[in-house]
Amino acid sequence: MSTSQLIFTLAYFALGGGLIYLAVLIIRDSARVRLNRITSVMLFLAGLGPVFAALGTVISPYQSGSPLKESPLYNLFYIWELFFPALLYFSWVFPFDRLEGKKVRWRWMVFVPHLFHIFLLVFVSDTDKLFGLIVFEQGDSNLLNSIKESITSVLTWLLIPLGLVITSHKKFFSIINLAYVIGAVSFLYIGMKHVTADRLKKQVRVIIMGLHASLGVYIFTFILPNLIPLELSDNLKFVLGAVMLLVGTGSIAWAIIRYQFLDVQLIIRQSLVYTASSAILVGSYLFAITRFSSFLETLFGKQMPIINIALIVVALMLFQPINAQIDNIIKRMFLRDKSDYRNIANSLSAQIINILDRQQLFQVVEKVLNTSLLIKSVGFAIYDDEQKAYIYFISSEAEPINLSETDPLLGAIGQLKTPTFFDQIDSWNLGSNLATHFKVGGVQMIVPLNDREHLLGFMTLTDKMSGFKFGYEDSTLLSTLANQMVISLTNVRLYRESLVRQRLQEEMNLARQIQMDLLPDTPPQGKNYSIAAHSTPSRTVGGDFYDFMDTDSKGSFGLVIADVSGKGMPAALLAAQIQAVIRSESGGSDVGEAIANVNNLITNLSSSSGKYATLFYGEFDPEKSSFEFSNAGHNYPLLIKADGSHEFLQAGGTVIGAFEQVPYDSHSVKLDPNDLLFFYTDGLSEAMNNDDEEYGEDRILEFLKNNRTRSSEYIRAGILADVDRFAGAGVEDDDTTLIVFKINGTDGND
Amino acid sequence: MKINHHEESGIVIIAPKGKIMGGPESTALHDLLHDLIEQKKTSVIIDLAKVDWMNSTGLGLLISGLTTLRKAGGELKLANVTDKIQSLLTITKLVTVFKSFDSIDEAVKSF
Repeated sequence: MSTSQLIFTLAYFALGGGLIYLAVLIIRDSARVRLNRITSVMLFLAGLGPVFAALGTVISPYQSGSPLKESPLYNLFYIWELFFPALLYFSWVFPFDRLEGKKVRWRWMVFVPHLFHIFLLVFVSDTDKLFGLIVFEQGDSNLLNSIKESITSVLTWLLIPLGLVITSHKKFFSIINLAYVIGAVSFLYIGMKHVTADRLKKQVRVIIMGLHASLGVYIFTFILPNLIPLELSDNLKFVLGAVMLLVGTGSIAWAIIRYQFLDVQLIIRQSLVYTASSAILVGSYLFAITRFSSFLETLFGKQMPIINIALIVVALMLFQPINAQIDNIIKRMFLRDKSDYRNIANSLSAQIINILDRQQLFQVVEKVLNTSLLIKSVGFAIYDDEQKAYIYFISSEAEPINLSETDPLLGAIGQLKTPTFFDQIDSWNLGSNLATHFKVGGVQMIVPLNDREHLLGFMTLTDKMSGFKFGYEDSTLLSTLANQMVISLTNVRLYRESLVRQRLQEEMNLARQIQMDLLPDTPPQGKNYSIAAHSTPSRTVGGDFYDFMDTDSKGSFGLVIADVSGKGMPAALLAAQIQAVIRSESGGSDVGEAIANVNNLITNLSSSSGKYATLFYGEFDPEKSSFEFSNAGHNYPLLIKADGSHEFLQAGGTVIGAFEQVPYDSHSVKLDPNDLLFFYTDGLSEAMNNDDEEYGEDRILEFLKNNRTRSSEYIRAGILADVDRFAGAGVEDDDTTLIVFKINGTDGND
Repeated sequence: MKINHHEESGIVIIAPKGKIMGGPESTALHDLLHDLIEQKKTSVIIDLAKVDWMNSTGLGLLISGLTTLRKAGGELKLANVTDKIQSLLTITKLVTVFKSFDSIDEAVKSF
């Protein structure tokens, strides 16, 4: 055998072996997927081609003494040609499965011509034998003979085309193979037109280009010489054959593996490393054994076959574990260098730090885990504030699963601090639903996502596509990843909360608007009284309001001040309702009765909501200078008489909106010149200073007494300033509402 | 705010502590009352001895507790009301609605 032949033979072996190895990898990935099965079969058959070709040069049947000489079994080598129907079949299921859901029984028929071809070559490779099959023995009966003769002649006629096929089977099947490849390429073309996904389009394009290239080479190398007189040297045929196989099947393998199954670079590196480690081992073994036997030979002066056999046995026993060890060492040296991990961690933190959407975060993390650690499937569980439960979802499954709080496995995960193997968690088998999900999903690793106090959620990882075990460095990477995810999830939560706050703020603004709309533009003014009013809604809008309403045409008016419990929109709406109802009840014969009616109506409206209002209502008659009022649980308004004495306006009943059919008293006071009425809500009396001291009723009373001769406007502004001085710059927690009602002095002074 | 409760001759005595100011902890009181109603325990005393202060939301809580229990045919009574809260009940005239007692014993006897 020449050197070039040897090189080609080795190249063929390597090429074929590589394709068969890929076929095994793909079928191992998932034998349940039709595409995997057919791709695997196709690559296996494609691998057989070069392997057989290489074997053919090693054990050529035409060499003298070859055991295969004269044997038709040699023709079994043609099995590799089943690659062509497999390729056609492949073009039916890729890029999308045309056979999905259809019962296409004839689909295996594509293999029939080639199976028939192999059958013919193995069993009836010789045309003479073929014809010999139908030569009957001469019988006695003429009739029988003539029947036999006619059968023989018919069969002979039938067998002539068969014979032709056999004698020119190479040419014939070259054309069939060509047709198959053209068919497959056409199907792939049509398929590509139907594909919208970019990735898949690229994939199909690579395959089509590869097939085109190899088709060209195939036609030139193997078909043209059969059809036209064209002589190619054996070496050139070898080279072209190798190129063809490499380009054709290589493009399929690359496209499929790169985009469909695995990280092809890693597989190639893994294969190289494995081969290298095996070669080192075998090499050192051979080296050691030759040295050792020659040593023994010099020692004993003769050959010791028994010792050689013993050495082989020992080597066989040691080979697997040592090889695995070397494999591991090399893997760690070449494949798992730490910079990889640092890169992954860096790129990850850059990617996820600004993600404010939980779903997007999971997608990015899953992608990183898929590509860098080759994790098949990643699951995420996260505590959902709205559902008050942990929700577990896997991208491959549409519906997330709500986890029971009492699940023992969930409790166990809550105790984890670092990424942990699922089977290392003891309590998983204590009737846990979650454990069942994990087992079905093939979960290997659980990564807890803890902040300082809580389990925010966790990640689950299945085993790796590459078949590597999770190692120490994986664990470090996953811990880093978990920390970054916790930060990111916290950001997501804060962002969500800020959105909620924003929404609340909008509601508050609306409530504030309602509240401001409830307030009258100006208080009523008469010749013998003056009124100043004020209302500041706090930042958390409450339900304070005041209002004035005419009760007759002679200048009488009603006055209401109220504080609805609660904050925000519900309080503002209840305030609006109360205001409307009071307006309709005002001006009746008795204010106590009016408030009782208001209460019954509001209690019905706000039933069982726990909302209520304190309210003070009074009607002023300027002719009689009398003020009739009813106090429904409100802070007592103050009547400061001109002489500085004071009176609380208490008469009335309990709060509005809580209890139906409760009585409300009314009482009337006579107002004299320079008398002062002061109405307020608890926002004023409960204004606090930094020492948690309330402004309080006493200070109010003191201020009013000291300033009772001043105008209503002066008192209004003055007491607000005094409260501000007292409470400091602090933000008021409650609404502050007040009304100053002053009867003018007879001398015309305020 | 903490909520302890126990039973005495078929009457549930709830003893909150601290300030009743509304917020998430007051939903606990609300939920507790609803649980009690479901268990047909509608005679309830709220012991306010350890309650320093309540705001209008806290008051609303007592009010809705009372109305809920009354609708279920029961009653909510107060015991050991501190001066500060007593004045709040006076101003709002809720003293006319709530039955209030100086000790738990008296409150229990009144049922």
